[in-house]
Amino acid sequence: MPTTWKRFLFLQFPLSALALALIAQALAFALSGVPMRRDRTDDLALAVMSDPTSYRTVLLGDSITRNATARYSLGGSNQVANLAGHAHIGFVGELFLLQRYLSKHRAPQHVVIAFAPGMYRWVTDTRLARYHLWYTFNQPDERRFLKEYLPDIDHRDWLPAILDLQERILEPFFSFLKDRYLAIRKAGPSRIAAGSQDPDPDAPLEFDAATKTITGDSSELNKLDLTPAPVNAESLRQVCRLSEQYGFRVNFVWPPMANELESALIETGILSQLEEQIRSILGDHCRLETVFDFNRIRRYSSSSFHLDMIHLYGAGWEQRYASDLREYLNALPEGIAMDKAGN
Amino acid sequence: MVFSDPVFLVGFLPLSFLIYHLLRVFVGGTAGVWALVGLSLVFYAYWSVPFMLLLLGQICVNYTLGRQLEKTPDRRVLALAVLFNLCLLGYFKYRNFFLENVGALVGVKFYLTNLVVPLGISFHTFQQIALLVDVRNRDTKLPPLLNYVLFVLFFPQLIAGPIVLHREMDKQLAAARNDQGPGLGWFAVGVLIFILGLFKKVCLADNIAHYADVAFTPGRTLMMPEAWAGAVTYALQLFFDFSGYSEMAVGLGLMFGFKLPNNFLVPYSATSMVEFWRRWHITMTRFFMMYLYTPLWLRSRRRLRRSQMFRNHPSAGLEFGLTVAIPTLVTFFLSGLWHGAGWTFICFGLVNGIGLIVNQTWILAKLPSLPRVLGWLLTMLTTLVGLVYFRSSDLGQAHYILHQMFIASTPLSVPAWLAPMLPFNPTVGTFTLFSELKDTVYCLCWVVLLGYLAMTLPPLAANPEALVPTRSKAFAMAAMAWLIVGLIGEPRTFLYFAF
Repeated sequence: MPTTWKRFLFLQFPLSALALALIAQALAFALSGVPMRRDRTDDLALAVMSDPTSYRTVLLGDSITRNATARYSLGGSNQVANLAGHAHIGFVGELFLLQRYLSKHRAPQHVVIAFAPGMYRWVTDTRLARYHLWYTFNQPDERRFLKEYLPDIDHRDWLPAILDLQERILEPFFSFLKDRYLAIRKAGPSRIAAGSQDPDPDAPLEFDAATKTITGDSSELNKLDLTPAPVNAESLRQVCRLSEQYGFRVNFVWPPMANELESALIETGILSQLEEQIRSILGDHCRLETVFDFNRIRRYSSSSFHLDMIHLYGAGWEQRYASDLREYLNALPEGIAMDKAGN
Repeated sequence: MVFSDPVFLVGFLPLSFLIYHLLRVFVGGTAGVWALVGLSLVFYAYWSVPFMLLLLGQICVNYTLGRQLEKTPDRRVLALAVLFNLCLLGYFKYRNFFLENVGALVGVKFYLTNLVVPLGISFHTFQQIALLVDVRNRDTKLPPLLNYVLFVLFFPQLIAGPIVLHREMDKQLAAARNDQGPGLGWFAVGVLIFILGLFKKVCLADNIAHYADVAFTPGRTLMMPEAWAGAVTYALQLFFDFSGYSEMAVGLGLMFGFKLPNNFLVPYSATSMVEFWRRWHITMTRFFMMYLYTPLWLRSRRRLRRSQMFRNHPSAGLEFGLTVAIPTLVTFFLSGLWHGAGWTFICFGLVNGIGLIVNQTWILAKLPSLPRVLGWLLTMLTTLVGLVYFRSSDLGQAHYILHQMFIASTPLSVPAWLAPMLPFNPTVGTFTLFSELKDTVYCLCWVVLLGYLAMTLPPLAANPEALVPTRSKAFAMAAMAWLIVGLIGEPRTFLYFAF
């Protein structure tokens, strides 16, 4: 090998690699305290502490509810705090959002939990949990909880920053830029209310023409296990403990499901079994009487959903659900809420 | 074994490198070549032992026929050899396609089992056919058995090319056996080119693949911008995936002291279809030009010149049609079919063939040259149309995506996130790729970045000996290496492994 290439391979290349690694480490260190502002969840996790309004009801849920409520109003300006997220933050992310909310606000009268049945079993994979939970919810008690129930979540923490550029440098850097931009714009505190448009329950409907199948045969469905995952069960217990501490009432609802799917879940007893399991998780402390079912108000066929059979298809269906949800939330009984100290 | 698989990178590659060079230095070149043959067999057997045995059988038959051809250049022996290879290829790759279409024609439905296609069969079969033709034409001599086996099996080019001609490897193999090869002389250049290829695959192609995968999901509803995004991202994915693979192959070859031919020469900067095919998958185009197009062209020209009617009434149009248009169409029809057993691949070939004929007509008619930008746009447009066929699962999907690209069936609609920012009340469409602002921005950033890189990254594999080591190259190589280590995970197979 010519000497110039030897120098290239054994001197210039390793030295360049070392220099790059050191630069990356220094940058990561400088950016380590920056709160993330990568997506809606990050913004929500910050807004939940800065929004000055104390709401009557706090809504927790998955993306079915989030999609339907992002644009549409659920009531008056101080009625509903919309903390609905998505599958990758799951119950645990919703618990953290609620904890953050309670640490800065007067307690609500109601907390409504609107998760699809499948979400009780669902735990997102470690990579996504790390992205959506580990970097968003980075307070010590939040991280302790995450490490206990999702033990692999910190598996990349040991890596040098150069091998984790996206999460350790790029995203904190862009979050920092966004933070500065908001500061320059003098943007007021973000709000956590639902959207501003009034939902129209008679909006025109769209239907997805793609053929969808719910499951294979009924024996396959019988094997379906929706037993809540340990991390979700513990998150529910924590919500229940918070309800005891702060005096709000916890209400469970089933968001829209394809009629064919819901009928199958009811016929096989899977849904009632899940409700029983939720009851046993909650125990006597925060009793669950019934789960309000939005599929009793109107039918949602499989063509009302996207190909994934989870998310509602088009604004017409979302407005119907938002409108039903608004009515349900308004009808929740008045109660006495305690202040943020729990008195 | 995939080149981007950690098993290959930290296990097979360093081990095979050590074994080869130690044997070469301490025992001799022939021992090194034996070791490379053994390692290549392990490399192939890692995927399938029975198919490795099939490949060995194919090599034995071809070598026997090659010896026969060397003794007597009999056309019948060559025809037998070509037929044997094409039958093997046809059985594994085209049997189901052929029977399905015959069945559809005669109204019979065959219940066919899905056959596993031996990895790289199209590549090593072509390589062997080319050698047999060259031996018969006295363009090259049949090498000794060991050299022949390594020529076919050499693992850097075994699965997806580059399609090497024997005359390119002949002297290198002989030199390696006689301890006269470059040894470790090209090792550092090889590492540099290999890292560039791996970077293209792991950091660029695999990261943009998501957009193409979503857009080409069967049954997916697409709005016009999404159909375009799907086509463009796939074009970029395919280029970085395959050129990355080819560079890795060249880099690996150099690490072992062999120079393999370059496969890509900044194809997306081509301003005509002729230029595009001089820059895209160069070794495949070369194979088709040398062993199919040129013989067809020569034969049709000879026949035409001999024809009394043509001599009495010479016609430039007829001559062009018979000697250029038809051979081009036949060549590209077969090149499409070579890529895969499906009508989508045939359409891919035909779109490119038609593009080339239009281009040739333009040149022969001495029409004024188009401005470079317009030439580039037309070339890219033809390429994109071809690639939509190439990626689609069936003709229906290809036509749907092309329809969405060129003919808006719904009024122009915008994603939900854009609607509140517009001063008027637009139609909000059901976007899947661009449902959120973030997705749109990411997709645009990837397209701009990869488009820029596709046009500007120098083809290092084109002339590795001319490369000069510099500090900036060391820095770039270090940055790419760190990015690869950071991003490498579950290996995603190379797109051209399917062919």
